[in-house]
Amino acid sequence: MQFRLPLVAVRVVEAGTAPAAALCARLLGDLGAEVIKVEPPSAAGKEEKRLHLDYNKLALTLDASKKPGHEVLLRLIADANVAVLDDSVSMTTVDELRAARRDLIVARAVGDRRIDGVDAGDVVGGTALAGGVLAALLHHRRTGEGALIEVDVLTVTAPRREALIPNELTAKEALEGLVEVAGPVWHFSDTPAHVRLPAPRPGEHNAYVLVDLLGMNRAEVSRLAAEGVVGQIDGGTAGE
Amino acid sequence: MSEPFLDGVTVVEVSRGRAAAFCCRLLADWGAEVVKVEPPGGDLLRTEDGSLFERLNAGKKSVTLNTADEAGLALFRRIASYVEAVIEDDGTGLDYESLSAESGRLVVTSVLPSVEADALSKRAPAGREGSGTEPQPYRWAPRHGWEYVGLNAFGATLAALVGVTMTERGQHVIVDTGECLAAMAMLSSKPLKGARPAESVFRAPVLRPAKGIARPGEHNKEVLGEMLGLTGPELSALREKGLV
Repeated sequence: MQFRLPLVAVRVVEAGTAPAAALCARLLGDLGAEVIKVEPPSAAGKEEKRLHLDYNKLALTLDASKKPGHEVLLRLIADANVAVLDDSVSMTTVDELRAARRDLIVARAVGDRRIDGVDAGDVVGGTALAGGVLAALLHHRRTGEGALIEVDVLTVTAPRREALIPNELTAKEALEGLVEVAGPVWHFSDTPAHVRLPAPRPGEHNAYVLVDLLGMNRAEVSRLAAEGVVGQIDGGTAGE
Repeated sequence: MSEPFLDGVTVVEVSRGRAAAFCCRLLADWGAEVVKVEPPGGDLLRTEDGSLFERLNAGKKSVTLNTADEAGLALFRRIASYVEAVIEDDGTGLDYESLSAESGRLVVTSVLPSVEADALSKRAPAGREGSGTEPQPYRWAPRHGWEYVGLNAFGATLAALVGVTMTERGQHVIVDTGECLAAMAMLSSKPLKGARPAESVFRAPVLRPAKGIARPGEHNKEVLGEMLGLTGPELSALREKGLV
């Protein structure tokens, strides 16, 4: 018997660099949501964390710090149910996003110290954030209301965290062949969560998001790509 | 201001460990009505030093019920047929098939201690900090790993409840302690050391402030009487038999 995953038809847009935000979005992807990860065209793709944190996602390269890029992000979020952000995205922008879509659920990982690598605080914070989004979705199903949820990844693992060094070896192995990723740990009798999509390359789904979802024509995309606002639509990143 | 997100959601908790209890504490924070089923003598964690029991159980209702007894178990099944979700880490007699036979919309979340986790703990280096009351599941396990496991159970339960809004069907959700901690070790480059569990990890305006701590069985009359419709003499008879 075939069952629908619980978050089928839920669209999630992820922007920012915090690992907790990435994990939150992935957990929603595990449950069937369509997750669009937005990265700047210069994204290097930090593979060692990407493998575990970014599967079950589509990838769009977009520079939201440029005005045209910001407008594309607003259009994208106006068509989404959930935005997963970190505090690199200003509250002004959060308010703008919530104005673009009144019933938007915004999940925000704050307090990220923005260094490479992932620590347990990011894992706990990201999991908590996903739980909060699910509570908000349940509330939205009943009332149609949006929400703003924040988890502070610093206080969630108080008193303090240590800086860490990314595991270079794992990153290298990851590029060379098959690696094991930490699969979903939420097991459902009828709707098993599983790895549906491997972690995408930055911008791998530019064509789908910009052309199919937002209805841009290819000339428009090429112009924005030339300005460095979005990546190329052949899946590569701008400047490649 | 918006009402708590889980207003109107009722869950029943049968737990011995901390993870399941923490999961239900979070559900209560978000506004769910949590009925904690304890053995007639009260939860074993009530005798622990410090404020652990209070932190895990603030804002819940308490019903005492001997689920090891057939008649007590039958009452438990009746309570389960009135709620949206059962959170358990006990397993005894609480199998999903029989519980869901009463209500197809019921979500049952089982938090499993892991056999693999027990095996792994034997390889743990000496001198590690541990609570001493629970098996220390994984070499990388943070001191408060159960809090992470509870968070996973919280999220997974809510995911299944969101699914019910579409399909009208509940399901059995399994969260395995050892697997969660192993995944945490794979995901993070550093373990969580010396951290203290946050009272609530969320910054959200819609959390319900925790109420006081219920005495064991404080809500027996409310749940067994009003929810199940048992009469005063019936409740007295159950009490005499040591079932509640």
